[in-house]
Amino acid sequence: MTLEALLPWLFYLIAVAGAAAVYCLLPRGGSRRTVPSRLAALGSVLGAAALAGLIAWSVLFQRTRIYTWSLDREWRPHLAVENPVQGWFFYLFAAIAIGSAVAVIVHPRPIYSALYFVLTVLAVGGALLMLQAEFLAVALVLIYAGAILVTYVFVIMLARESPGPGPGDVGGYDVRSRQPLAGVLAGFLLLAAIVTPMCDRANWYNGIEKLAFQAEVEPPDGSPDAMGRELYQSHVLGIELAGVLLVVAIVGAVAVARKRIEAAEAAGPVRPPPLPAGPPPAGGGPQR
Amino acid sequence: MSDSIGLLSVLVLGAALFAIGLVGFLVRRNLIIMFLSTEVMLQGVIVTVVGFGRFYHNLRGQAFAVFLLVLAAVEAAVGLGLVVLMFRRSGTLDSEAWRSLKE
Repeated sequence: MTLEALLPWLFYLIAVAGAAAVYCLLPRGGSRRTVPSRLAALGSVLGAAALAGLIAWSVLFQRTRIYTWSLDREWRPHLAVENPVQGWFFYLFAAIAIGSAVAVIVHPRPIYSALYFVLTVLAVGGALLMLQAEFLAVALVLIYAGAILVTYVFVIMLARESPGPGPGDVGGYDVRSRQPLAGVLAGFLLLAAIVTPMCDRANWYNGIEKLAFQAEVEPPDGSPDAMGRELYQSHVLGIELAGVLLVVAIVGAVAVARKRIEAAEAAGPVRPPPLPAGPPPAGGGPQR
Repeated sequence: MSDSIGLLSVLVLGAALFAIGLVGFLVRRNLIIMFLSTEVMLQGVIVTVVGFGRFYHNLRGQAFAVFLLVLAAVEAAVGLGLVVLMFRRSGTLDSEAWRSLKE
C-alpha cells in the first residue's frame, strides 16, 4: 500500500482521535464544578495528539501530493505559498484556532466560551494575515472581537438567571450536553466527508486549468486600497444590498427585542394609582 | 517545502472549524452557545474562501469574506434579539424549554 493510498486512512485515524477528545471534554452531568476530571485530562491529551497529528498530516500531504500542471506542461508544487516563516506561523495560528474553538464548545460557562471565541477570532485573523489578507484580518478582529462579541457578552449578562448560591455554579443545561455521542459523530463524519475528496488526486486535477492560468499573475495584496477597488468595481450591487440588509436587521432586532419592555413601561406608571382608592379586590384570594 | 502553506492546510483548517462549530451547535443546550457555535462555523467558511482566493491569485475570496462578515453581524443582531425574547418568555436559556415546538 503506497503512502498516497494511506493518507485518507491516516486522516480518519486523526479524526477519530479528535472526536474522542471532544467527546471526553464535553460537559456532562454530575458535578457542577469545572475542575478538570480524569476524563477531561484524557480528552486534552487526545486532543493535543490529534491536533499535532493533523498538522503533521497536512504537511506530509503537501509534501507528497500537491502538484499542479503548470503552463510549461510540468507538474509543479504550485499550491503552496513559498515562505517558511509564514508557513510556521500559519500552522501555529491554525493550532490555536482549533484548540480554542474546541474550548468554545466545551466550556460550561458561557462567558468563558465567549472569551475563547475571541481567541479563535484572533488566531483566525493571524492565519488570514499569513494568507496576505491584511485588510480582512484587521476587519475580522474589529468586527468579530470588537462588535459581535460585545453583543454576545451583553446578552450573556442580560439573560442571567439566578444560578445557585455559589458564584461558581452554572445552569444545569450548561453542564449536561444533549446527545453528545450523536452530535460528535455527526460533526466528525462531516469533517471526514469534506476531507475525503481532497485526498483524491483526480479532484486536484479538475481545477488545474484555471490555477495554471492564474499562476502567472502576481498575487494581489490584501491592502485596503486593493480591497476597495475590488469591492467597488466588481461588487457594487452587493455592497448596496449589504447596507440594506444591515439596516433591515438592526430595525428588526430592535423591534423583536423591544416588545416586552414597551409593555412593561406602559403598565408601569399606570398600576400604582388605582390601588389605594378602594379595598384590595383580589388580596384575600390566594390565601384561602 | 514542507514548512510553507499548502492550500490543503487552509482547507483542512476551515473544515475543522466548521465541524467543531457543528458539534457545538448540535450538542450544547444553551441558546447563546448555540449561536456562538454558528459563528465558529462562519469562521471556518471565511478561512476557506480566503484560502481559495489566495491560491487562485485574486481578491474575490476576500470580497466574499467581507460579505460574510456583514452576514455574521446581521445574524448576531437578529439572533441575539430572538434569544433575549425567548429568555423573557421562558425564563431560561435552555433550548430544551422549547421542545413543544416540535408538535
